Amino acid sequence: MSDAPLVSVENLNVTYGKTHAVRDLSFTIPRGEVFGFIGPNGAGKTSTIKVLATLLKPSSGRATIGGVDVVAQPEQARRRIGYMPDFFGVYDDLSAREYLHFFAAAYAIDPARRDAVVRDVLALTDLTEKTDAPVDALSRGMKQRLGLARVLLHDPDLLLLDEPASGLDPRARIEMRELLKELQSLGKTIIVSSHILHELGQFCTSIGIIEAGRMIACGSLNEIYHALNLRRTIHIQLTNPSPELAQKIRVLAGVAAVEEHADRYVVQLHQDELAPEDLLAAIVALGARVRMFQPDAMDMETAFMKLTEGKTA
Amino acid sequence: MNLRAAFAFPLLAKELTERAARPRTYWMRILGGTLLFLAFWSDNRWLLREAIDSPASILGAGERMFESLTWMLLAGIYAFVPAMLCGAVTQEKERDSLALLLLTELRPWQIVVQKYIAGLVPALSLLLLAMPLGAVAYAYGGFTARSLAFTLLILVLATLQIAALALWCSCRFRTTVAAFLGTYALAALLVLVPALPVILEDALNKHWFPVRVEWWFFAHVPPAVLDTARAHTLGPLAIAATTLLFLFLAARDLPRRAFLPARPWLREFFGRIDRFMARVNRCVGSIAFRRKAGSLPLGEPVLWRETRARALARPEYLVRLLLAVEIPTLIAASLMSTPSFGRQLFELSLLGAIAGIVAVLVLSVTAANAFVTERVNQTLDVLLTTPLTGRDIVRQKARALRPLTWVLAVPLITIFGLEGWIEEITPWTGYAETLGLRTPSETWLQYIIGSALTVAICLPLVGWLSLWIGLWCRTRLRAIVTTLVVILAWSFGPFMLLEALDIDLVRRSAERWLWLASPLTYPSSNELGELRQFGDNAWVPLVVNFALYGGALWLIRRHCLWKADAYLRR
Repeated sequence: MSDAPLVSVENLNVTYGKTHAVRDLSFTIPRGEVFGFIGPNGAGKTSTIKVLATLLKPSSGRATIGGVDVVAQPEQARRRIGYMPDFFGVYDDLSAREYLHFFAAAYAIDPARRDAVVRDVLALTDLTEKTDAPVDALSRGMKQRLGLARVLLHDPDLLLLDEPASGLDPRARIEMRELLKELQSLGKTIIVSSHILHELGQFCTSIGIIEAGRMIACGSLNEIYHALNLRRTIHIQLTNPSPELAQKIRVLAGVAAVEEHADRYVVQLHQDELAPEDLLAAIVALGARVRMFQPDAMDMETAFMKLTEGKTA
Repeated sequence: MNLRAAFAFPLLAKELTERAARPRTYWMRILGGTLLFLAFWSDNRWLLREAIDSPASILGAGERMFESLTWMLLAGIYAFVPAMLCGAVTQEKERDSLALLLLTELRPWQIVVQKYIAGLVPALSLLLLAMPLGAVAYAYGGFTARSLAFTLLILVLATLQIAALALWCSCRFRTTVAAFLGTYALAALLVLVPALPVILEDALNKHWFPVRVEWWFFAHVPPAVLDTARAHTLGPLAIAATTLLFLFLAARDLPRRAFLPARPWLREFFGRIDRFMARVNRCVGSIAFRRKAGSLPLGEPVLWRETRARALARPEYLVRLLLAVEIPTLIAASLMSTPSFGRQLFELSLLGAIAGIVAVLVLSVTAANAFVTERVNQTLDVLLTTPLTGRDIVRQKARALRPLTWVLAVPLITIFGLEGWIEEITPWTGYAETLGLRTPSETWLQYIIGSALTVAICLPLVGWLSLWIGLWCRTRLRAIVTTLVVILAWSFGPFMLLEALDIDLVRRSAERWLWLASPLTYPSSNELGELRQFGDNAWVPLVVNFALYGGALWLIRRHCLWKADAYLRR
């Protein structure tokens, strides 16, 4: 596998009349990455994804997928991408199998292989039982999974998923998240935009935060947290809590704050000064008997709120 | 509720603000005014020119001017007002905002009335535009102030009536397109159903009703009221009563039919026939003429889906439709062709014209919707990210229209074929001979070839033109209205323009060939045996006309395929 990034966006600009939706956007995504694209509504996420999906011509700048320029060679680019918009985009009058066969033919997949490919993607998205069900009879979550099955038909290098969890109930969202993790494990490069930030944090290897058409932060989660000097929250339950012990924890180097709740302490750490495992060792050394020690997942919402001001393009 | 709240009309204010913000409100007004003034000038140019030289010589001619203006306005009202009102409620349904309206303190009748008034403002402004022309006509005299007031009253009532009908359809139907087509269908029923006794009376040559009573059956139809001098009170009352009835029905249907699920009624109907035929087949040995249920696309996925999804594209359904249309056409045309019915060429021509209008309507609406439906259902973006080229997608969509075009062409060919046959067996008889229009150079063969070429070129031309318009329109209603306006403008615009420029078809000059700019010129001349106006050799206009329209078809097709990706915004 080459080290060259799969996706490269350089100085991308998109305008709609007088509205400048995307301004000088630049980023790269290596192969196998899951890139979370986040930003407020109207920030330019969908416009950027549409440029990569060959659906929108940029006013200036360049975007390539595996070295293929999406503006100059759109036909080649289309073979490398699988695009799932933030709406279903399904033909309600077909069955799931017919729908996938339709797109298999559109992607010119060898007719001899089509049945097997369709069977495989239906199995991967857990829709085998719904093979002959009419699309309009599927639930919202199933339709979304069918959309994902569609983008996998031609085994693209890059998946462009625009708000894949939008409007789904909690179960369907979790199923979608698991499915994306599975695709990640299969080595797919994925660009996913979403508003459900803590879910993105669970499987994205890097994120880009966009506001008013500009990229305001881009990199791995740790890089962004360190750059923002964000705190990490840890929930600690002790069998021997006491105000004295809380005070001793408060003065440890790297501890920003300790809140005393009825059943636990909530400790805020400076991420780059004290690691959670070092805190655990330190409080044990102070004589605490630990029943529960639970660091929160990296707090993307805090990062998002700190970086953005809610501006639109 | 206090007085101020009672007269707040929030929905009306919102509707008027929205309309005022749309540039098309003003464009439509300019277009409507321009067409009206052009038509008025075109129709009265001789009189108006004479008036420049000697104004006194045409005193009293205002009646003729006013009459032509009245009929133009009526045509405008029936052409534009349904389009202005039929989306009033369906657009709320389509964007899921009707539920929010119904949850407010506004009652259904208040919603209906406010929507009605909002729609009437641009509709009545069309009438206002005609006021200066009415003043010109009145200045030349020939009709009384009472007649002027009565005509104005009927025109306003006609606007109110058709607007109320369109609004009722908007409340009743789920989509704007259905409401638009439903308005015309119901308007036709509204005229035809009460008139049935009189039509039957005429057909059977009986005299069931006194002439005075016969008129009552048409008292609610504004053109009929204008056409007769009788019953000045009954007509307006009947029109006003039907208007109120439509508004009542609109207020009743608004909440009842606010959340209609999608119902492809044609497919359901054909599905019932399928099930019935399957039961019959079990008895008679499984003879089936339809596509295998499990067929999957091989090479042309868009074509495959089109022929599966649309009832008017499935071969088995189209055969049924063909039989349903062709059998009555064949029976009617054959009856008209028999000597006992007097071989009525004029009636056959009329039947051909009706079949032609229906064919153009069905084909243009279907073709204009081919891409808009993908846009509205949000499936186009997904399709555009596949490696299919825009050219491929457009070509396959156009191919899916071909079977429907053939089905619509068959009744036309039948009618023209029978006409040609009558001319062959009884040369120089019938309508053309009666008028003394046929010349020896116009043989039945020329007639048949001309008619066949009209069908073979004009129907695909309508299909491709509508497909082209549908490629760049974003809503169904806009696509359909634009297509119909373009077809009407192309058909009648050249007549109006050439009349205005004094270019006469009868005059033997090179300019008369400009009349071929309207696609209606050749078919109507062919039907009426008027081709000699283009010269002694009737083959020449045939060749020129079909070279022209064949070329137009080729150019539009080429342009659509060439620019497909650009139109699809790739």
